[in-house]
Amino acid sequence: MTYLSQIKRKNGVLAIFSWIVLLLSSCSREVEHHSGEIFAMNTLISLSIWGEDTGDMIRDCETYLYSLEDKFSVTREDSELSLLNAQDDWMTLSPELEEVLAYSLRLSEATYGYFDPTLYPVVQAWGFTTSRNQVPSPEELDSLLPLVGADLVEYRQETQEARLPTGVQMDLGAIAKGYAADTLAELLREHDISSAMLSLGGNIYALGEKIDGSSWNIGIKNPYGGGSVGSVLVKDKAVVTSGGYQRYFIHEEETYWHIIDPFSGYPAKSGLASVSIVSDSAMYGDVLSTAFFVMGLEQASTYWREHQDFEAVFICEEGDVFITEGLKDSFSLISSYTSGSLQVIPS
Amino acid sequence: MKLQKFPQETLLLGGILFLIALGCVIAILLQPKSPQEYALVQRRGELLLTLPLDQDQELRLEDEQGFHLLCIQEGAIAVTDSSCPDLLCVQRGFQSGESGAIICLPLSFLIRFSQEEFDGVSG
Repeated sequence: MTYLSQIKRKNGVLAIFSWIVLLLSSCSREVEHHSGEIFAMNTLISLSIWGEDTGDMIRDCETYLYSLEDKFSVTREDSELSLLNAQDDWMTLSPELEEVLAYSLRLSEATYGYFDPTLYPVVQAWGFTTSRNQVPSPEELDSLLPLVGADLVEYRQETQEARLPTGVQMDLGAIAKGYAADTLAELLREHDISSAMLSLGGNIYALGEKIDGSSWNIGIKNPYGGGSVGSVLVKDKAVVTSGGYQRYFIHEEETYWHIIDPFSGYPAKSGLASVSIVSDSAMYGDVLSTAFFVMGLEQASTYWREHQDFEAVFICEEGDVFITEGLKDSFSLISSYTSGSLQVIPS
Repeated sequence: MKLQKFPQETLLLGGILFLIALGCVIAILLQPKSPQEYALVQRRGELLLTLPLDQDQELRLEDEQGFHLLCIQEGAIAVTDSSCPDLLCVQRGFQSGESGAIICLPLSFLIRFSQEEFDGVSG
């Protein structure tokens, strides 16, 4: 074999290796993105934004989230909502608080009262807003339940005013994060950002599509341990989950979680471990996931059939997973989930 | 004649190498994915460590402002001791999953969770 042929053989092998390397490396394109994390609205918020010149956007988003906290926090005495809770006079609301308050009243009615924004006195009695959890007596709950009901809130749309009768207090925690996600997404769209992943304490807003044009793959947390039960592929959707596992305490071997049944005053026991809503609006998903957790699978399925403007994943206490028909091509259980079967709710 | 034979040998060798590489890639792609979870440990906004939660271990992180003792056990992580004044991070106990972050505000210390196979986790 001549020296020249050895050189050519080496060059040929090198060329093939280079081609393989190029082929593999072309599959993983480096994407520039900016991200930030912030602790606001009593939760950890992660923002990932893909695009050009987005550095200031992260800071703008943080500033915006802090401004929402000033309005919606129920534990901070100087927040706008706390001021509304503390008085029984008419109060003029900021546009943000007015929008969320009006929406919560409308959706409370639409969900037959299963979602109720006036549960705060009962939630306080259970100690869920503090670290001092306790089981209130039946007498205490009986005395608080007359203060619960969205119909007790007086609201004048024309003057953007609201009034809470003495003792009635609102907690918009089950809806404010959804509002924040929706308005953050709107803010990003206004700045021509079409690809972003917003996570507000597990409350997901997948803005647009991934930078490579594919769908976002969003895991649905396993309520009974680490990891996820499955995932759903979405583009430009919110994926919001409510579950008893998110906040709870154990007293005398009984588990009490933070999602309260507005009709009984006790933690909701409907046979569901978690409910995830896939919808265009995170605020809508926030309300529905809470309401459905309280009303249970059967009634929630009926609600879905009547409305059809969202999709849902229900994880039952026994481990079975029910999805609405619109998710049958985009939802999949992970292979290691063996606690229950997957069933499709037909329309 | 030799020059005509040379490309055939090269192509044969290259073909074999290509098939081996292709086999490796397919084997990697077909590997069953487990829901591997990681704890991302941050201090003052800086990512210090990415810890796989399937490897039990204990470690101590310390700087001029204070220390945190971390314990990973059975797929979850806890701050078992800390020099922070309120010890809320210690009271959180063992946590896993994206919604179960451990936050120590006095020392600007944060543990959050990530599953690399998903773009986000709702829950």
